[in-house]
Amino acid sequence: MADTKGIEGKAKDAKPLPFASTIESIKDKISQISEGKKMGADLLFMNTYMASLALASASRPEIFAYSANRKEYISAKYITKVDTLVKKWSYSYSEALSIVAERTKNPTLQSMLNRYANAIESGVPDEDFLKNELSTVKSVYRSQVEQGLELLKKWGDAYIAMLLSGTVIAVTMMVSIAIYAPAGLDSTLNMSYGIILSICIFGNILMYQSVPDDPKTHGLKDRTSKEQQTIHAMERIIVPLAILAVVVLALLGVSASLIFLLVGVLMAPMGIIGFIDDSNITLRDNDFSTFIRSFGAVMGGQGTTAVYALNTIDKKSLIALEPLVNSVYSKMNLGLDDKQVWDKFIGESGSNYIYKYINIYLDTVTLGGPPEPIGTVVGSSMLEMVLLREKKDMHARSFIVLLVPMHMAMAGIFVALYRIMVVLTGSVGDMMKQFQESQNAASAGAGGGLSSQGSMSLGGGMTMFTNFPEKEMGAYVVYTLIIITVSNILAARIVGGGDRYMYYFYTAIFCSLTGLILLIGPIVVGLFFSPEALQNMAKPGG
Amino acid sequence: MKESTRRIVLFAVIVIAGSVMILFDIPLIIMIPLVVIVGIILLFVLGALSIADIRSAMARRKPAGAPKPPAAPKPPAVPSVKGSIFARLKNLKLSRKDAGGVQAVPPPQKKPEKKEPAKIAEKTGGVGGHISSFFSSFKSIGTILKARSKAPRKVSDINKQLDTAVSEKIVKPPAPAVPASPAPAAGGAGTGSGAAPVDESDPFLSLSDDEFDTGLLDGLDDSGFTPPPSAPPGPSSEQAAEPAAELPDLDSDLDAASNAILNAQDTGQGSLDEFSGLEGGDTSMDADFGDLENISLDEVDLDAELGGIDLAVPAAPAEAPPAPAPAPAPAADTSSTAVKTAWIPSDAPKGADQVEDQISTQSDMAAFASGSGSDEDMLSSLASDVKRIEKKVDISLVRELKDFKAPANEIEKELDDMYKKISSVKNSQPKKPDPGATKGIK
Repeated sequence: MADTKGIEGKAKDAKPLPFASTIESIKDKISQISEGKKMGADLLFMNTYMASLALASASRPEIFAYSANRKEYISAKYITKVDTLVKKWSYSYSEALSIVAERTKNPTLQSMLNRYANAIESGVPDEDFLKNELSTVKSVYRSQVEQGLELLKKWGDAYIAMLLSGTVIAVTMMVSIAIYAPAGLDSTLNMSYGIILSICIFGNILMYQSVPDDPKTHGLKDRTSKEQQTIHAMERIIVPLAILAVVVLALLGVSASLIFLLVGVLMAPMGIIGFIDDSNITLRDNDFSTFIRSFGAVMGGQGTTAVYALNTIDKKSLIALEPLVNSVYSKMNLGLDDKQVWDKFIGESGSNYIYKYINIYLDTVTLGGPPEPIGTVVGSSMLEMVLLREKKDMHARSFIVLLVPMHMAMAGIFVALYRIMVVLTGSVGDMMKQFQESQNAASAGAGGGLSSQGSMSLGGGMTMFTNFPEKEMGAYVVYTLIIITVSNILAARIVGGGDRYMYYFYTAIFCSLTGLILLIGPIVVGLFFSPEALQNMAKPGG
Repeated sequence: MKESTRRIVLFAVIVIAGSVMILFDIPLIIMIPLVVIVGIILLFVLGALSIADIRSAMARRKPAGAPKPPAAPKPPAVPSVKGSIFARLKNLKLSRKDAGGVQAVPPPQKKPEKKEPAKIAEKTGGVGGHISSFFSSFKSIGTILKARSKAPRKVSDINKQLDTAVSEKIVKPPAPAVPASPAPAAGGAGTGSGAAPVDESDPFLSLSDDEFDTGLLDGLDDSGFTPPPSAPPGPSSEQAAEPAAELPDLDSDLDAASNAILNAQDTGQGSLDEFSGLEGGDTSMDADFGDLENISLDEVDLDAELGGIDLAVPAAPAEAPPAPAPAPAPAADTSSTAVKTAWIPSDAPKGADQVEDQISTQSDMAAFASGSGSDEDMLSSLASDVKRIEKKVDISLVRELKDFKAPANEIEKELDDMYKKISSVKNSQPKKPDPGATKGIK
């Protein structure tokens, strides 16, 4: 009885949540997309690892078993399948590779698995195959990244052009509303939101698909760089505070410009530290390629242990990495546990490449591999990725350098035109009021019919600029600017890459700029386009 | 309620609620959250969701969502099986059996790792520490901006470097060769410098100190590797050396050898007077072997003379033309350097064209010219060649055998058992007369 109750309870616990299957399928699709993006780099990591294992004279089962165990590579799960098919289902490696290749959707991985199966079938030694395969994967990765960069360049330009067109559409709509003051204002504004939103989403998705994936940080929880620690500590307080402040200030009806500025100011410290960390990681990665080569060369050439090798290598050339290397050396010299020392090094570097590549090196050298060729293999793969990142950074920098002024221009045009419309319609309204009063006074004194007719026709023409819905259009400007700002933050992060904290950096930039434009724009417009000047223009003889 | 029915109901209610809201002209910003709220309430009303479900889902999610430690490069082990120790053992055996035909080498299992001490919390120093690190990070912004403000490299330069990085070949150093024994002085080939760390941990290193078994040379005749020592250095010697995979440049060797002989003759250091006895030796040889012509082969009863020993001696030597007898070795100095002959290909190291090696080869040839060689020297030279075959250590196998304990008494017991079995099988078989043993006995 108790058992049945227990089973029922378990069954109840296991009841799926509503729409769980739908959510799962969406999750699968998203993971497929992200897997496809990460596969290129991960295949290079894994092939470097496998080639290094082969250099360490690992047997085939060992190569597969160790590679399958590297869960940080996306491709490792497919190698796990191969390993399972061989060890539990007694398939040959060639068969297992073919079977897994058939069920793999990623074309690059599929091709690699098929090649490996063929090589095994035709008796090519693993070491020879993996050496050649590493070269192939490197070429494929380079070609993929370069194709992506070309596409990114095109889509980046297209995004900016499309966004500018969206702004032009919004401006035209605003002028049209000012002129005609249509009755169904909401539908017109919604259409405008729809156009801008679709441009933003479309542009961002296209850029996301074309940009090569480059996670700069390792994302480890327990050990991170100093900057990352500070950011993680700050974001726990600042992000909820910022959200709360925005909601409260919006409910209180505080000016949008101030809210934008507040968000920008709150995000700025985290953004700046993030920027510092990002730049440090780039510099460390640049140094790491040289470091690992010389480290391997000294270890292999002199037949020394890591401690002596660290002491011997020229650390002056490692500008960004020197403090970390010195730290490792001093700790190892004290006789601390090597694994923990290297883990700390990885954590403090904060870099994803260092995390992946130092583990490859240490793993395979520990297995008895020759340090010098392994250092060369690791350094070569690292150098390729670093150089490709450098190329990507060049494109990204030019995109962001273009995006920031364009954002300012778009927001500036929008705000300035809105203010001009407000001033113009206000002045026209005042003028019409004065004119009406003077006309009424004249008609009351003279009682002429002709003059009243003339006033009617003039008044009818000028009503076009008198019914400008200032409040609605103000909200329209703010919403449009929110959409553009958010989209530009996303676009900059997608193209620029980096960790999550780069969102804070771009948020600080774009929100501050938008806030400043919203704050200063009306003042600047007021200097050149004041109601008094218009009234003076309208006065007879003025 | 069925899931499909529930979905239809949900859909209908949400559409109706939305339509009603549109009729009442509710703004879009309010309408969307309202519809979402209606949907969530409906889920509870229809029984698709309950608070207990949410709680259990949260409870299930918690352990899964807990941050995992970084995937440390654990040595791949046999897949873990939950359950009793016996069940695990069973699985272990089965998995090994399943591996079957595939040469599945179970990856080395690490010793149960020592329990790591509880992770020491990072000394962040709380808020103060973060503030100080915040300002120290800010200080470095100048350096970073300076580094970033540097003129970026040209794309063509990056592409050049990329080409180099992509096309870089992996050159594996030669497998750690285990020196069998101190090479004979005549070897002259340096074993290289800087033993790799692998060599130091070579468990089979002690085996290399074993004396070379000269019995290995017994089969040398079968391999056809018997060029006559007196054969002139020419095409025949090259043919003889063909089987060797890595042949040094014979021409250069031979040139060096001839030069050495000539030099020796010129300088008078290695006088060829020792060979003068060869000319006079012809007459005495004729006298010695002249008796052979008088022997009638039909009359010779070998079996009787040899006492029934079955010898498969070919009669060829008797029919062969009288070959010049080799010159008697003049007091071979066994302690002197071993002689290397030019036709032994593996004697010459790869860098034979280097000055030291040339000198070594020349001195060897001079020694040969001076007649200090003997069959023993030749054998020792061959032995040194055989010894110098690179032993490729199977590191994979070494890793597998790590921590594998085989007590001597168990091995002894097993061997004893096996010996007993073999001897019992032999004893049980009826002894057959060996036809070969009695065949030749008349």
